[in-house]
Amino acid sequence: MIAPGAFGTYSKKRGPLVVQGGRLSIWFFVGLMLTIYGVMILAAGLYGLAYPPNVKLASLHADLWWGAILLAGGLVYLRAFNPSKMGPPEA
Amino acid sequence: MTGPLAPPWILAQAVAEAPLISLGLLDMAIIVVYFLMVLGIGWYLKQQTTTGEDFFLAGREMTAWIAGLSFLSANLGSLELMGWAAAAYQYGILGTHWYWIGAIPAMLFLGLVMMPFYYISKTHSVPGYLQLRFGEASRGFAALSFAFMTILMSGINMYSMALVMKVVLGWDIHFSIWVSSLTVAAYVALGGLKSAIFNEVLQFVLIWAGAMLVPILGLYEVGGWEGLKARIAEQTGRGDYVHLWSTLGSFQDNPMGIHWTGIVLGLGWVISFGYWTTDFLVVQRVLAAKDLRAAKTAPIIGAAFKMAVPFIVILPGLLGLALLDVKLLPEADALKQGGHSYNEVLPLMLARYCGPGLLGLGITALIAGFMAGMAGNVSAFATVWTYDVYRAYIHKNASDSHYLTHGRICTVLGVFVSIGAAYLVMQFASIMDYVQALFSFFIAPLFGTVLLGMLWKRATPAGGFYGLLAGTLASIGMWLWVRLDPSALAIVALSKHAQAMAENMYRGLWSWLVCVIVTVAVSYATKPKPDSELVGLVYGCTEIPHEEAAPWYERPAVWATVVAIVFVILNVVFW
Repeated sequence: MIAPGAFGTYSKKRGPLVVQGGRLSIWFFVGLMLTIYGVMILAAGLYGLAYPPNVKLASLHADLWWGAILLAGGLVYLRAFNPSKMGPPEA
Repeated sequence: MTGPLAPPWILAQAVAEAPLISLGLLDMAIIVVYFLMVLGIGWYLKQQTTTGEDFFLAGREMTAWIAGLSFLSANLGSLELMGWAAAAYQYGILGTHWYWIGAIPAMLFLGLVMMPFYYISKTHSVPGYLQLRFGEASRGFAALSFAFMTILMSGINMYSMALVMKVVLGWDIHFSIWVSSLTVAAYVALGGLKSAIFNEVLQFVLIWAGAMLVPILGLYEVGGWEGLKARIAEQTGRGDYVHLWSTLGSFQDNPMGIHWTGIVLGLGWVISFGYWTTDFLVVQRVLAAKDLRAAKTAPIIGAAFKMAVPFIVILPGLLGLALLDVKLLPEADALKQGGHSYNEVLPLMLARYCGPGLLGLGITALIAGFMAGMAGNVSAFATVWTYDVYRAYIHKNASDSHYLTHGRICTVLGVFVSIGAAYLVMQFASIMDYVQALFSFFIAPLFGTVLLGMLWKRATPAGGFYGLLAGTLASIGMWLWVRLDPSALAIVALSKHAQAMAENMYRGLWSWLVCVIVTVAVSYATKPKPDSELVGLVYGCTEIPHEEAAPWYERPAVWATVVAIVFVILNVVFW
């Protein structure tokens, strides 16, 4: 996946994680979105184990492993860009 | 956003009796989550948007990654995705040229050569740069034409998207137009460019999450690239669908009816450089970067991902050609005989592999693409209108908060005018046939003006203005000429077999040349500005500030070289 700030300059104090002074980073929202969608897709995949959807290659259970990938990526981003680790937000 | 790089053959008129796909409850929930998310982000960012700089330039604090992905996203609309997948089904791998030679060299050039001048001059917009370099006349001309085209393109995209929703999902056209555009109006008016950029980054991730399964599963089903080639040869009876360059020796030898000179000079040089380096819609994203190095790196990051986009756009079209049981038809035939048109290849492939949940994710990616493209249009429009028309000619010297409020109102007004344009297009669908041409009227000459302005200090204000005017008039003239006398196509596009896209490219090339020749001629006849007035604007008068010392892996030039090498390798591999 993408490593934000990997080549941008950023203040060591603020870290790469927030845009400026303790505000939420865009990557936090990306993590949130991937986590929510990961859970939803994974749930659909589990349901699909019992009732396979009517699509090609259903036996590969794409929704199961794709949902797991999205969820894992989302959790990594949520953890890395967790605002509570970033110090108090600006007033 | 489609722009001059999008296929002109997308979606004339389509009406299907039954929707292609029916969404379940889970799919709908996924779409609703997306809408809540973008509105929430707009609401959250509102409190951070207190000055004009916040609203119009996102506070100039974006990292290279954010600016770069948003730069790419603003161009990666859903119509572009579906249009190029359709083009790949119809014309084979040739569509890839619009992602590689038609984008990569220009994006690298923007990053390494042009970005420093845009960034150092502290301009708000491309017309703003023209004002600093060439004076009011050039700025006014560029601002008005840009505002007009942006709104028209926005309306057309809106209508086309609503049409897709109708064909694919059976949704009511009015419902799609109003819900999606009011959402865009809300989040851009609240958070300005920052809100647009945040959502573009979100959309970028969403598009890959939603669309990447199709090529992965498709390649698995067909037996890899070799299997794909064999199946296409079997289906079409010809081998030229999978070669990028080897079939471009003559107009007749390839499915697109195009010659390599058109691809290299028309697309790769004039149209591509014009679009990627002077269309404010994309340049605005990079102006929001937080320092010069981020501004230079952003287009390079964008280029790296741009090279990968054919994987989720062109490849699904080719896979559709190889795997789908139904034979897809041109739009007009699909209407007459019933059946599916080329434009439906991406939704059909999505429905082939994606069950409940994944299907909703794929459709959400398409909706997100549309909304991000539209947000790009309205945020660019609000900026140009506020700074280059309103502040320049109507209400000078007002307070910053006045312009901020005006920008918010403009955003909402821009959306309503776009909706009006969408209904206009609905009444007169043939407007769509002309709009790609309209867009290219302004882009190619503008590139000539900006390029000479940045690199040649002898160019004078009069030269810049008359060059731009002459190039634009020449472009309109050539277009009218071919409309009135179709045999002129053989002169303008060098072959009477040329298709609309080839005509656009050659017309762009000639109008660029007219612009450059007139600019040079008038400049030699008029008095140049003294060097002291060109500091920060022109190569040779400007000391480019040194980027702060950085290890090799953070230098833009290093990554531009890497991208260039991969670009060459890809072209050779798929020769």
